[in-house]
Amino acid sequence: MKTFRWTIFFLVLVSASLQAQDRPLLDISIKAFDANLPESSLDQQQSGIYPAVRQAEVRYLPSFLKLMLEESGQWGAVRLLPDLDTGAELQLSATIVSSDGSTLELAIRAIDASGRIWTDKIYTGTAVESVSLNEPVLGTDPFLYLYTAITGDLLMVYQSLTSQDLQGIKDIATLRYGAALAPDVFSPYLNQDESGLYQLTRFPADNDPFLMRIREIREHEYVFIDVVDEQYEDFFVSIKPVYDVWRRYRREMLASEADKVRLEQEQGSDFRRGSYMSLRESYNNYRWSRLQDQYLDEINAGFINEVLPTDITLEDSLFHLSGTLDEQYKEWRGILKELYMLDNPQTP
Amino acid sequence: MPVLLLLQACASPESAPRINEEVDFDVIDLSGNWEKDYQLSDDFQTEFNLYMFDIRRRLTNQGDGLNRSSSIGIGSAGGNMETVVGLARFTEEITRMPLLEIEQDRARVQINREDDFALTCEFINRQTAITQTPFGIEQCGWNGEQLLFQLNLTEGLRIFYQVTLSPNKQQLNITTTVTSGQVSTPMTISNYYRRYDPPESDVDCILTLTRNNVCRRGIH
Repeated sequence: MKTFRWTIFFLVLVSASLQAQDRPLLDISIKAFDANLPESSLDQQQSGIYPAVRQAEVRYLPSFLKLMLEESGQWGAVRLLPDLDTGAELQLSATIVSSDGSTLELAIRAIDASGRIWTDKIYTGTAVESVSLNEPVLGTDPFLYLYTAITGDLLMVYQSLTSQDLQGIKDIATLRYGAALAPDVFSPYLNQDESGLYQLTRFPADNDPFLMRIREIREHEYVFIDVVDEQYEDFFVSIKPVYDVWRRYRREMLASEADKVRLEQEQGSDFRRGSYMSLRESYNNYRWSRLQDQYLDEINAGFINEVLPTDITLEDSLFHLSGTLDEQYKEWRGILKELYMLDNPQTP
Repeated sequence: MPVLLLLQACASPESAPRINEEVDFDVIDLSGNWEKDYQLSDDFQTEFNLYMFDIRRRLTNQGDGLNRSSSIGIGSAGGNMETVVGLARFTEEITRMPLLEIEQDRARVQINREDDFALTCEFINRQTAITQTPFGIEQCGWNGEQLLFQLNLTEGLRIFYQVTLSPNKQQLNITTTVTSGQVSTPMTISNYYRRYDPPESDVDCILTLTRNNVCRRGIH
């Protein structure tokens, strides 16, 4: 916990010094993580993946990353979305490579509106018990160091850019958002080179009616996004205690299994081969490992029993808000585009 | 629910059926609560005597029999007395299983045993389901109307379960065959079970992680 506070303190200091330079803050859009869930239940079982837990992690893990980014005070708005954001200034997406309570591996990709890749690598973290135990506050996590590594890498890139670079990213983000709704109007402002990087050819005047309209629509979209974001936050707050307990159980099980295997390998059997005690020991070792598996199944059932109602509530509230989130988010974008066309019938 | 299976027997005990033929069949529903029928089930002492007799007979058939066996009277067909008795004692212990609760759906069967781990088989789209832990490998699958489990554990310990439902579905047989690396003759125990209705509870409980069991009175 101490380390966490020092980390935050350090980030706040850095933030303060940078803000003093009046550098533009970038907004970050985080896409809900890719579950990386094997299709068949057998593959899931063999990989030690519990679908209900993994589905919760898809929302939980980015929520914590969002919290970390917000806590740093280094960034503008940080938003969690079900899909990629076409107008993102800095888009962050991730695939859950593995997560077993003891180790977490995330393939993180962060790319800004100009196409510059900020990070694209796998971050691996091992749970640190002292950070998570008996700390009911939201800002703790056994994988805090993994998140700190991600935010640290992002911060380094941010620091390496000039104010002009950052403003350029913001401008390109606005124009790419506009180009998604009205490509004929906004695409000419952008040039994409062979490597995929966007460059501004010029920027429309601030009182350009098309630009003003696009900004207005973007603001409308933020209202939608913020409500979605709030639902994700509620989900995060609700399941955090359950997910923390699940991970702790899982870690303890993995540790005790590793201990038992190590002991068996080091000590071997004290009994004569083929004797009753030797057979019993062999059977009991296997019995123990199978009971561990079954205990894990029970923990998983307990997780589902507790998290599922929250999950349903989340889906339900999002449904009332927007229908099935992923699809309706796209539909919402379609509606915005239609609105734009209606308001701007002269658009070529 | 037709299921096409190709089951492969991996060094099955000699008394166990070979299970490497293709079969097309409806999966038998084994679900329910079962209690041991002691009258029909094997009496361990009788089976042990027969087992020892069988070992001696094999030795005799080997020609040089007891004369060249070890000082404790058991030769290469069996093992030494300690390992033979040890295998029998162990077999008796793991075949007690007085009560069984079997849960089954289209993809999975789970045989819950008192004071032991559940035998679980995931069989949808599977030929032979395999579960592996650091201490052993468990294979399972259907052979016609029989559900088979084979456990290959350390010390050469191998346990083979054959689960069969009677045609009237009121009786269940579990035949357990145990071999070890030190005793070449397997020991087999056959147990019969009949259905029973467990007492109903008017309290429904679900497990949660932060609040342990959460119970409520059921509506009957």
